[in-house]
Amino acid sequence: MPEELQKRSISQQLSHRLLPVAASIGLLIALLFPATYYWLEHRTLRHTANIYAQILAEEVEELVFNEPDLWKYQTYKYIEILQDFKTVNEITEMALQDEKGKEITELSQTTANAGKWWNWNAPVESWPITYNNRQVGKVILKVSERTVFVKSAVILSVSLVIGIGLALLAYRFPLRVVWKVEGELDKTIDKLSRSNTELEQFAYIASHDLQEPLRMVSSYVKLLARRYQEQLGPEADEYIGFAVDGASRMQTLINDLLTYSRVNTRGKELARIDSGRVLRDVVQNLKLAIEEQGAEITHDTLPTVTADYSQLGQLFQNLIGNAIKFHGDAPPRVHITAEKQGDECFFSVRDNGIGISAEHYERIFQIFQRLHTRTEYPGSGIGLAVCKKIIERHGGRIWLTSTEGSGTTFYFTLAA
Amino acid sequence: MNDPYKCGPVEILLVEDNPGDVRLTMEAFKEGKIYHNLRVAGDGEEALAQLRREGAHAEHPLPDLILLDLNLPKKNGSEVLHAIKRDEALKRIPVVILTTSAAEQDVVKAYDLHANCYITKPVDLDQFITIIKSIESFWLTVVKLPVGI
Repeated sequence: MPEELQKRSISQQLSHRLLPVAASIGLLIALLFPATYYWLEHRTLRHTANIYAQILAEEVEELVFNEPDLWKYQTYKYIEILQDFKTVNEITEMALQDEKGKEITELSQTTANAGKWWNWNAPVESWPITYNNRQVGKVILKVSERTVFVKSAVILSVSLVIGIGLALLAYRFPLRVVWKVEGELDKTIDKLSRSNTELEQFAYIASHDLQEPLRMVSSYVKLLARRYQEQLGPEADEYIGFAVDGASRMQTLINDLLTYSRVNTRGKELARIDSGRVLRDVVQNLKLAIEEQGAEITHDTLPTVTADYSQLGQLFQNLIGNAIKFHGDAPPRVHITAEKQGDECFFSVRDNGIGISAEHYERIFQIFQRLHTRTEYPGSGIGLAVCKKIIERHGGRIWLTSTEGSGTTFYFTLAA
Repeated sequence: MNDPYKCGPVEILLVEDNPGDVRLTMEAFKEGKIYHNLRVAGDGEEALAQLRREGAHAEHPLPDLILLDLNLPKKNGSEVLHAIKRDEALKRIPVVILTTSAAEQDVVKAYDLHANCYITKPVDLDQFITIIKSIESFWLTVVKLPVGI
């Protein structure tokens, strides 16, 4: 099964992160409006209180003017003024102070609204009482914040509703978008899975059902040879040879196609593996060919990479197998190096074989492309195509340099 | 021959639906040295009818060896194998699965149903003939078969 794409986890991660953000935005908005309103109205109220204090002070100053020394003791005159002011709804408390800042308690006035809880922050304003440009006392005045609080509370409720609404929007809207995208992604994944299954089925049918008629052709032609060798004449061997050869090549082609298609349909999840160990296994597999050709395989220390173990094995086996097969006069010498650069590993497989001319560099990676006749070198021409597909599956690159007559070096990259 | 008192041919039942494969098997057995009689059943039902000596097969002796293909029409090979190994009269007969499939699940299933061995038919004729000869040699000369079924 090719790399499993994660379904739905992006939106889950997003919703976890989004919730506190959306809640904060909502809360912020919910608190912002009433806070601003309260602050503005509080200022206005202070200003109002200030004016009241000023007016009160002026009225008191008129009386002070009449009796500048004894005004503090003439309480009855001031009561009248203060009673008048008491009718003003916003005023909760009034007090007069003498020049020493001591409150003249007989004149202190409070209304029913004084001391209520909503007046905890109620503005307190004062205005000096002056006579002959000299301060002889002070008016202290408190106003009620009741209406301001009520209005702020109303605005708070409304903006809470709006805030919750906005928070929900901020939460749901991006999630909706992501869900939609994920939905599309899931559909694509399903399509790909179905396509993959179809490909696998097709490959199975190709390998299984095509081979039976091939087997019949090949077997009966050979049976003909076995039973009627003498009776068929000298050319018969040749004819039979071509027929049988054709059938067996068809067989190999089918198997190769299967191998090629299975790079993706049977690819396993990429994991951290020791490429040195893979190479050791491959050299073991190629023991016979190595001994036959007197080949020598050397390598640097090979690193850990992120890959599919068996596919990396296929890759090494194809490249090293080729290096041994396409040898020149000297016995094959193959050297493998690896170098880590950043988050990639650069591998090279160098041989001293017959080399490849630059004009063929692109062609050789194509499926079933061969540069030699079958009598010169066996093989169906799928090895490098499979290598390329494997590297592509691993997200890497593969390329080569070569000198005809001296040797070839294949390079490829894998994730470190 | 295993049994010194039995002087008739070795009875082999080949259960195979592909006439091409049937003929190939016959030709391969011809190259062997053993005096044999090869009977063929073209599908699972016919195979069981022969084994149970139903109708026209009443006079035929039971086979000493059964070569069984897995891909058969009507009843498939596994069902036939299961039926044979469950039948008191038939379960002693060695059953050699001879099929094109190399699939792991087919092999496991066959052995689970008590097939005596599993052979994948090779693609090449020479190899096929060699294998038929080894079947002959192993099952009919090396191995001791149960006497008097």
